[in-house]
Amino acid sequence: MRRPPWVAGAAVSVVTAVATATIAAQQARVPLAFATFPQLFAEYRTGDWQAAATAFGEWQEELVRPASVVPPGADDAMIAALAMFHTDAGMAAGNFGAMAKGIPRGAVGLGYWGLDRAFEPHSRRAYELIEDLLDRAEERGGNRLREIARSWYITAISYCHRWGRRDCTRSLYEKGESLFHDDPDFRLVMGSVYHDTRMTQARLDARRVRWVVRQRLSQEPRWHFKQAKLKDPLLIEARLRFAHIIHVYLNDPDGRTEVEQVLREAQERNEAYFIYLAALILGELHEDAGRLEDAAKYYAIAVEATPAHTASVARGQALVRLGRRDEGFDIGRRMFGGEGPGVDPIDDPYVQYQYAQFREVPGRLNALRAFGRQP
Amino acid sequence: MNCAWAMLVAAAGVALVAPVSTTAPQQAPFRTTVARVRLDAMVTDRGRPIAGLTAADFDVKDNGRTVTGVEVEPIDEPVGVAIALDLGRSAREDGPNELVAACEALVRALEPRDHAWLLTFASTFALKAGPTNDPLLLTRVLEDVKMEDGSAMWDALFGAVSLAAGRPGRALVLLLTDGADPGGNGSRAGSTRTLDTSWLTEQKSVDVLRRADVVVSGIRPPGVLYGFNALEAAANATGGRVLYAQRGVKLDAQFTELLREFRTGYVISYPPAPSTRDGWHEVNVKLKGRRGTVRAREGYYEPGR
Repeated sequence: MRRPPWVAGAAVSVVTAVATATIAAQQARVPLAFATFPQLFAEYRTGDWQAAATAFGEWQEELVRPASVVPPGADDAMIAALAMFHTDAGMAAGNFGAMAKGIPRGAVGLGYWGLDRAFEPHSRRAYELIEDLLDRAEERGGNRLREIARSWYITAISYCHRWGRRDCTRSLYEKGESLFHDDPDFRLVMGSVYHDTRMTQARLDARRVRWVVRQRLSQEPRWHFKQAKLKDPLLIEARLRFAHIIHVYLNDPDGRTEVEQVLREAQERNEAYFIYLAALILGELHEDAGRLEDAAKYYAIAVEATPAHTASVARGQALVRLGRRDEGFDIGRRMFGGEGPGVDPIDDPYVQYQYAQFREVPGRLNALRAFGRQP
Repeated sequence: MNCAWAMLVAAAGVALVAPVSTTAPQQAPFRTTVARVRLDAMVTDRGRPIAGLTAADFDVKDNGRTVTGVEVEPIDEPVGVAIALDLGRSAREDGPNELVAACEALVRALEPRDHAWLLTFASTFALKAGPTNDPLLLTRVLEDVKMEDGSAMWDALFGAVSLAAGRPGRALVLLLTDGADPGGNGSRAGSTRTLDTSWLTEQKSVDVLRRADVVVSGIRPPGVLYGFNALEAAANATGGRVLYAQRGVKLDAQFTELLREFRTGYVISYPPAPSTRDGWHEVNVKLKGRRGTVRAREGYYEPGR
């Protein structure tokens, strides 16, 4: 990793300051809005990580990188913690993976090879620190550090994909492929960001998309999901997405068979997320084929698994269009449950399905934080 | 009121279709054993509602055939309004803020006898309040809404229609959106900023709307370009219309007028026409021997179809 020449000098003072600040922070709390970087980092590692990350996220961009220096002799946990501090700060500020000040989205000249100086400083710095961990993993052959880096990539790609940070997604995607192409989870996230889950046979037909184009549109995610399946045949999401794609784009009957199998397995394992999605996809499959009665039965399974909006909309509209108007609108009304002021709807798996592995982000962040923090 | 605006607002029309009793044409639909087709119609002349019309003034065609036995009654009833507010940033950069302001104006225009629901939608949708006739509650809820991404318009519309269709009386769904389908997430990595997350498609939605006794109208914020889009498709199917708010015009007055027009108008009923293979009846209502515009839904499905 490239480091500016002033790093070595600054690093000595930072490592001393971090150690001092850790003790000082426990004795007398400095208001975080006025805290120095070492104080904030100490708070992040040992105290209220959320408050520290929020305060750090409010720093001016130009102050972030000069302050964030890795002390010589820093151990793996400290580097991982620093990477996560930047990750959390960028996410707390809502601009992780965004472009740096003055750089337009999709600027000409972006290399799409990791997060370079075109990106805002927290995501860029986190990326550099993860690179450091990967270098260490290569030197020592450590699987643990590589696993941390892999999980960070999946997290960052999913986050950027969710919030439409296209340049960030692509940059991490391209770089990550060179690092983790053999990993089924990484193959899954690669396919997922290319997977247009909203597409249906009916939509393709309405747009008169030719067979050759359908092949091409589905090629990339199909390839990644297939590789993920080969490497981990039990990876249920890769199987579901692969089956969904080959049904929608290629009208392959194996798609339906596979989704039915996924539904059975999900029911056996009582995995509501996959029961919901598999039943919804099967319902849509039958609806596309004009079998509205069968579709309504599958939609009912989805509603039973998770009474979220989409399955209720699907079932309700199917019943209305079958002539069972009152019943259909009744389903539509009941989908809101106790919603109202202060009561939010439950998470809808269909919406999560569209955002790659974003649903895994909170869990992955927790695990990554746990490695570096010392509460 | 601005003259051009007055014409737009006053031309708003509403319609319902259902078999009803011959003796109680204003009662809720599908409640009687004697089936009659029921249409709600708004009649205007140069933007002003026309009062005092009778059956002799209307020419009603069902699947191209002039129907007989038409009865016409004026209506003035409380209404249930389901408001669906688009909070998606996909609309326009400054659009949602204007829509929130427009929604507040609409809430203030409700009368004590009305009731309302408030849904918000972006990448998904949520019922924020209702049914209520408390404008203060709705206004308070609006203070807390946040802009998001995406636009699940069709799904939100189904939710709003389901709510409005479940209560006796006349039902109006008001969509406050630019109505533009921002398109899919394509095949490029990370291109989900303007993701339309609706599960429903326009085709399925319109099919549902043709079976609902609900009028869908839309209000597009100032600055949105005129032209046909998904919002017009929903409005046309139900006899509603799309209003184009203009800068500098008092939204309160526009919405008050819109609701007043929805409360008034005529119920046209007639004996059912012969059954068709698919159950669909295209309806055309015009005035006979006088000038004016009639807005009514484009047709109806026979019950059970």
